[in-house]
Amino acid sequence: MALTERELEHLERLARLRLSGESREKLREQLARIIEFVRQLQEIDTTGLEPRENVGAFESVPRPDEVKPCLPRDEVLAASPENRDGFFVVPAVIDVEGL
Amino acid sequence: MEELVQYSIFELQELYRKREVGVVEVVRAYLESIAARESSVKAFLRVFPETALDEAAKLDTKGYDGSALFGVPIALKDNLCTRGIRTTCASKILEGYRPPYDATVVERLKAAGSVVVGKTNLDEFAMGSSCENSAFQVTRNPWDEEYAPGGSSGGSAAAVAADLALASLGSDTGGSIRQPASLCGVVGLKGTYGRVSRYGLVAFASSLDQIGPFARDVRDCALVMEAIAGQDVRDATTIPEPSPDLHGNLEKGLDGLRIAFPSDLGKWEMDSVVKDIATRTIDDLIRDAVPVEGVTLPGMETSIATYYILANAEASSNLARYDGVKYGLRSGSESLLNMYEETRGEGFGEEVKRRILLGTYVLSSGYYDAYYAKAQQVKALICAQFEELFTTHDLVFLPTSPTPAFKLGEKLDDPIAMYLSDIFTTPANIAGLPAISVPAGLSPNGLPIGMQLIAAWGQEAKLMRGAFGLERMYRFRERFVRGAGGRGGRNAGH
Amino acid sequence: MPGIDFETVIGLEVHAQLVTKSKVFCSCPSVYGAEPNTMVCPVCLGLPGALPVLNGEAAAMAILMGLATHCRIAPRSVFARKNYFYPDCPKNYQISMYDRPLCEDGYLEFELEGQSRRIGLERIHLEEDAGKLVHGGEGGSLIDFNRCGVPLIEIVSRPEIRSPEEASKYLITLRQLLRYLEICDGNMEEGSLRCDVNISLRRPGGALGTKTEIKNLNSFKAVEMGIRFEIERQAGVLRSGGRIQQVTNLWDSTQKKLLTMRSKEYAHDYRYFPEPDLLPLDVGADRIEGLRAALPELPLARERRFREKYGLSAYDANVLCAEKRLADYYEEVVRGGSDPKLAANWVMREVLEEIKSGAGEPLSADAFAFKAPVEPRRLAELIALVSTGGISNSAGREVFKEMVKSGDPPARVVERLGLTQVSGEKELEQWVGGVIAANPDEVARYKAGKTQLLGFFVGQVMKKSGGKANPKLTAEIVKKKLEA
Repeated sequence: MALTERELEHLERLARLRLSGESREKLREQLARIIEFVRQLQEIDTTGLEPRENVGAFESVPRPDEVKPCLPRDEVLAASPENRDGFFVVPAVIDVEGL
Repeated sequence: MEELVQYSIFELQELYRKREVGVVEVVRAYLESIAARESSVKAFLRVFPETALDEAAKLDTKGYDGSALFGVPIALKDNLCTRGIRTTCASKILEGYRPPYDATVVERLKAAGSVVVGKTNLDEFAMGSSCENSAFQVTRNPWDEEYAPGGSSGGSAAAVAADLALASLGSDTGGSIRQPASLCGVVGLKGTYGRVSRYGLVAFASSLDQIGPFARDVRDCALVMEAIAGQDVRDATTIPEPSPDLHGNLEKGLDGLRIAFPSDLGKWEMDSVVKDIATRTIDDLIRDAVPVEGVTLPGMETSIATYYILANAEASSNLARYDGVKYGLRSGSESLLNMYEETRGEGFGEEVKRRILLGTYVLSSGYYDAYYAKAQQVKALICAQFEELFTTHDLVFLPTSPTPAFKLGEKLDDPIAMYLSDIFTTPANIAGLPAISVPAGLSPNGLPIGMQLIAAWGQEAKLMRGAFGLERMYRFRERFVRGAGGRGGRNAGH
Repeated sequence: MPGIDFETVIGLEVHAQLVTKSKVFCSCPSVYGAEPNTMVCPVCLGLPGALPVLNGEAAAMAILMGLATHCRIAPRSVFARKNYFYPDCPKNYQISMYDRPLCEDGYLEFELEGQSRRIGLERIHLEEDAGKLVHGGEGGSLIDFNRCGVPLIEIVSRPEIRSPEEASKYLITLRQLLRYLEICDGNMEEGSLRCDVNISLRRPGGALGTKTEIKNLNSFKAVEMGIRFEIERQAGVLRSGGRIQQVTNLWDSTQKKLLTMRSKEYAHDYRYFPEPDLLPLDVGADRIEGLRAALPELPLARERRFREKYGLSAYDANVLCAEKRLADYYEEVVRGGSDPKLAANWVMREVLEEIKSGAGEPLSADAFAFKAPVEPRRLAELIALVSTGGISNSAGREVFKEMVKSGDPPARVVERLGLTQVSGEKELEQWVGGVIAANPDEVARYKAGKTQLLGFFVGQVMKKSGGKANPKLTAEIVKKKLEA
């Protein structure tokens, strides 16, 4: 089952990445083969099987509601590509039509 | 100086205790080893000679204090966060990234007295089986530099194989410790899922990833594992029970252990030498009156597909955070969308992009039930089948990898072939079971071949002594690693 | 309003910030108003390698809300990743819950215009809040991650709300409940309580219409106005034969209108899957019963008890039970010996007025602190003074104001201001005599049959005596003299 160009573009949109021109075709073929390979699973009978959420049989241990020290802000911003006045900066996010 | 690298962790602790040697000397010996061979092996992305010697000097001043890994030079896979030190996951998107915190395992290694000498190469974001997917360099197999060391923890495996570090840490999601261990002739261990904290391990597939050690022998491997294992309040998936003693009972070997092996071994495509070693091992076990039985192993037919659905789905989500906003590479600035797309387009390599897209596909609406949900059910089936098997057997024995190391560049074009090389390793990841690769023999052209043991959930102690028993049978280091019988030494490649 | 053409179908999704000390998946402080990016750590920043660990207190608070709204608490619920890219979302997924939420199938009851209404709750689940995006001008947006990771419960109603007024009342009731449980302070302006509305119109008996969403409603009034605006807009579209587009609208509180959000260039497909870094949340029957036992008396039950036990009117009980700490205060006053009805009057008038004007010290140091102008037992003392005739009612109000200012006990204030009520016959007779003499016309009218003028005479005596005369005795004396 081949992956159409439209399907591939949809996946790229969801994943926010785009493939360069050269590798698109190759990737699409490879992806289609892998997907086909993986469809074998659908032939396995798993009626009545509950997903195994936790491989071990132990219960979760939540944390107590206690405060611990945070990161100092200069460390927080140290790796940032762009920051200003203590904020991270990104290209403007426009939510509303007409603005 | 040269001889200092021949000592195992176990032997070195004795020398330290008797004050026959200092940490600075040992670290220097390893740094010299790196200086001599690293330019051809390229196991490391970065080495820290000054920091390492500083640490060593501090330890010498403190003096031997009985800490478990005192003065042990260790290498860390570059997907383990080290505070203030670049942690790149071999990806352009994190090329200059310095985490503001240490991974839990790093904290525990330091607390145990070890000395970190460098960060090792890997397939980008731990996705791959050859280390050829690194954005920065290709690591070579120390046994023959035209061959791949395996992956994704190829750098860590090669470092130990080439005596560039006494032990190292890698991570295993579908075989990424065991397979390179097999290809490089060293011991590689993945514990029960949840045995080692993942806090500070850059996530690939959260429900499968586990950190584990490489070492030259089983005892050393046990010592490193003990130092890093145990519950961590910062990782909710860690096992809340105390972790078992792994080295106290090694001498018992395979005594009293019931072994299962795949009765249909012939049906799986593998190199004839691999099959040979496997069958000879089984024969030897029978000869030694170890109870051995051929069974149908769970997960053999289904584990790869299950693995690739679950692992890539989780990866597509785990890697969404690399977006140029807070850290790492940022490209493109015309708009937010442009920034996301350019950053991720430029920053990720081909294999990573493929897996993200595959993962996105299996999770997307319309496909979730047939792919992801189905895979979870198959996972449950595989778990149940292993549980059943382990009611009548203690260990499963099988090859680690269908082939010895392949030539660099050979498998890159065919991702399916690359994936199939994980066929023996993925079942233990899917079922969350502890598994280990022990070097067993050499191929006709001198490349190592390892054999694998899998134990029941939580049963690392049985696993380690079973591995010790195999190691005794194989006598790999004695036979193939240059140096006086049994004491190890520089490996046969040079 | 759309008139008889259309029925309104409204569902509300409310997000409430829980008042835990630390965030839901990490140990950073959960505070409002700190300097940007100073309350963050690798986990809430989504740094590589960081992992979430559930805050047990947040789970407990969520369960309390579920119990208080008659939900079924799931013995096992599962966290899920909601995957989408947005700069205020550091991991580009939010840890939430999807098909196995913590609480399901509850309801909220309230009264609207004398009618009892019950709105179904589909579910309540636990999730993490996102950071704050601020538009920075100069072509950039600024991000502060302090808020990222604060625990939220999302409360989803069934689409059973039928009018803007009902929506507002639902929200008010929900807020009251959250504050009673002391799990959320319900501050819409600061954003600790947020409300999104889903709304569609349909012909009576017809199929459900296409629904639109309204966000950014930051007050009860805005909820009503926004809904009304959208009803009119949708009705207009439908009447002119058009079709409703499934859009999300932002309420603009300055312009008082709805602005359509840019339709997402890329469709939302959240690709939910169970969060592998967190184990499922198991809640045993013991735990549930333990939390149920820890529930405070809920507003409706408390109002009922006030009516029965204290003989209060429905209106009075409702006012006194609006806030838990207010009701607690009232009962403290009654425990201090006050007659419940008197206490109700005093608390509803004098005390609440003072609070409205900003007076009073918090009785404790938390988000639900009740700012009591006077301590309950002091108020009880004052009420006792008035009811036993020690001082007059109007004197009592004066004493109260002075108590608020000085913090002194009532007896001392009465003494200082010389307000002890005069009940001595001789003095009263003197005052009454004086007033009768000074008002012959009124005397005549009274004797002619206008007995209501009794109040006038008593009032005059109160004035003459500077408020000290005992009004009851004064009235008796006036009557005696005039009817003699």
